[in-house]
Amino acid sequence: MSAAAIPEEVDVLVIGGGLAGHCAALEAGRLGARTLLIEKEAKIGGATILSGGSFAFAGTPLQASLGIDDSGERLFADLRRVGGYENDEAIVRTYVERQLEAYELLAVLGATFERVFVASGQSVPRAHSRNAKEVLDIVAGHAHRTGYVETRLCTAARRLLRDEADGAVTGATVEMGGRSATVRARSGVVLATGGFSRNEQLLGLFAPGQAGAQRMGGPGNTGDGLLMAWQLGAGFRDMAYIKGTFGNHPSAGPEDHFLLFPIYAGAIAVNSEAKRFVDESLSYKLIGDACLKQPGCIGYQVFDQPIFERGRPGIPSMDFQADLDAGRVITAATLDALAAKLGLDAAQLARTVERYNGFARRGQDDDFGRDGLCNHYGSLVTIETAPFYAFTSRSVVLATYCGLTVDESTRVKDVYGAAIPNLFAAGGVIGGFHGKAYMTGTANGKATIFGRIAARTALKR
Amino acid sequence: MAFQAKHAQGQVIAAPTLAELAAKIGIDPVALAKTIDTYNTFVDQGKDLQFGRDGLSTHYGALARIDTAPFYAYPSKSVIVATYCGVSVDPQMRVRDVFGAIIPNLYAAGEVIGGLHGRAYMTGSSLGKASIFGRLAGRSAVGAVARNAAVSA
Repeated sequence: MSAAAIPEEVDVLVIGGGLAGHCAALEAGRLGARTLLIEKEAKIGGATILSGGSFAFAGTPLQASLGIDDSGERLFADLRRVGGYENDEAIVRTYVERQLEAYELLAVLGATFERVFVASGQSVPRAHSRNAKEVLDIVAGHAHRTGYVETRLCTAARRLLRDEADGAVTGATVEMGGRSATVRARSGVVLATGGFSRNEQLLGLFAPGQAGAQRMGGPGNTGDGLLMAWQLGAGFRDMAYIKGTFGNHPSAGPEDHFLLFPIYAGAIAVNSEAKRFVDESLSYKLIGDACLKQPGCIGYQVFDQPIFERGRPGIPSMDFQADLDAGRVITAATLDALAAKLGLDAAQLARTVERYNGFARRGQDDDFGRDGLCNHYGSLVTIETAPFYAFTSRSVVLATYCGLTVDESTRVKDVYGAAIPNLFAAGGVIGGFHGKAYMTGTANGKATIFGRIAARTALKR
Repeated sequence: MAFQAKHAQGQVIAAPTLAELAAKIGIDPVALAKTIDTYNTFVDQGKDLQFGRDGLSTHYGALARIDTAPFYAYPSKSVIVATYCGVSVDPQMRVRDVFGAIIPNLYAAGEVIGGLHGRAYMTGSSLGKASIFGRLAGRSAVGAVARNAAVSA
């Protein structure tokens, strides 16, 4: 058998080579299970390597060393609230119970964190940040070093196979280089295929309201796992809450990462009429919805020098200097000049900023009720010290944050709630975790946590 | 369209003047008078400059002034009366799976199917599609019975 030949039978077949798939493969490998991970694209990474590299963990040694008071209970409360209590309590609870273990595992593997910051949906700083590709490569390296994990690139799963008698999933038909093959999986199949932000047909079906938003995602994020499980009768959850994320620069292509959040450091967001349109401390997904209702579906984050200095070099979504260097952050000596550069009405922008500064000084926003910089955290600041800055922003569907119904052990459930035997799912393909909205860092967090759980459940460990 | 019957049941509210109508339904009489006035101007001009209404229903029927007492109001909310979406079928009403493959011996018709209405609904098309596609589904199933019988024989 040549090295490239695909195994005919394994213990666990993992479909999808992002963080969830690799965490599942690592765990299966550590348990001594013969594991095949297939990735449709020519390289691993999926949506993971496009992410900002944030992991939402709570009560970590890093937070403690920085004097940040956080806990699992606080994370649980935040997750439920951010999700509008529409998320599945049992799945959220499982994330909370297993997140410190995931943090520790990553640390042991060598994926340690040195930075933590506050981001969307968090009531305290808990976005543990590190280059996502580094984390993925570390996990993938350890998975292969178990000696039990093989990876095949450019290999797509096409259909799941099912035992006709008991309905159990027995493997999948796969395709590589125009050839088809069957892979049998004795212990089950883990779907880790991510979301479907690159599948216009599915977006049109589930999120027609997002037509005005940009799309981003790995080229492979076309919902393959969702479709294959759908064919077997899998249920869906959270599909109605697909939302774009505000803060993406209009120049970004589908695989670029030009998200920037000066709003969470104190900036305001205005529309093309130079008027504020939203409480800027809300989840960037809710701001995304508000942005889609503005003329041209476009907004401008406007800030000044002290807010600019609150940027966090090295954290992509908060590195204002890097975006200034790249020409995406616009600067001018006066608000008038800034308005001219953006093509906004200068008099209106001046009125908007002046009115907002009044709110900031009083600590009360009479127009939109903003009461903090980010999710009730941090005090409002005025925008008055030159030079001034702006970051033109649209809403982008980064990930779909919805999908298959699973139980807290990652068993895929059919539309009537019955488990589909030997079918498991983790990462961006599952629904039920986020509910109405998303907290920064939970996509990578849930990929790590539920990827591991999927392998353990498949192997009954 | 049974306005008289709804009025008799008390659902259509009537008043001799617009101001009294506004008071009965609890909205600002000045704003209502202004709104009606503006709309009547549009009717006279034959052009609705605010929303572009150009007929009574889907470009059909000429706009009519609202100026002759008594005046009426019908409080209205939005209601989901049907879902107008559902399973994908082919023109023979054979149900298709998510990859477009026919699910053998499964047919669907009426409200459970998707694909006829698209974004919006035309009045009457629900009962129409029930009649038309119900028959088609029956024919397809009978065809399958005949084919199956032929295979067995």
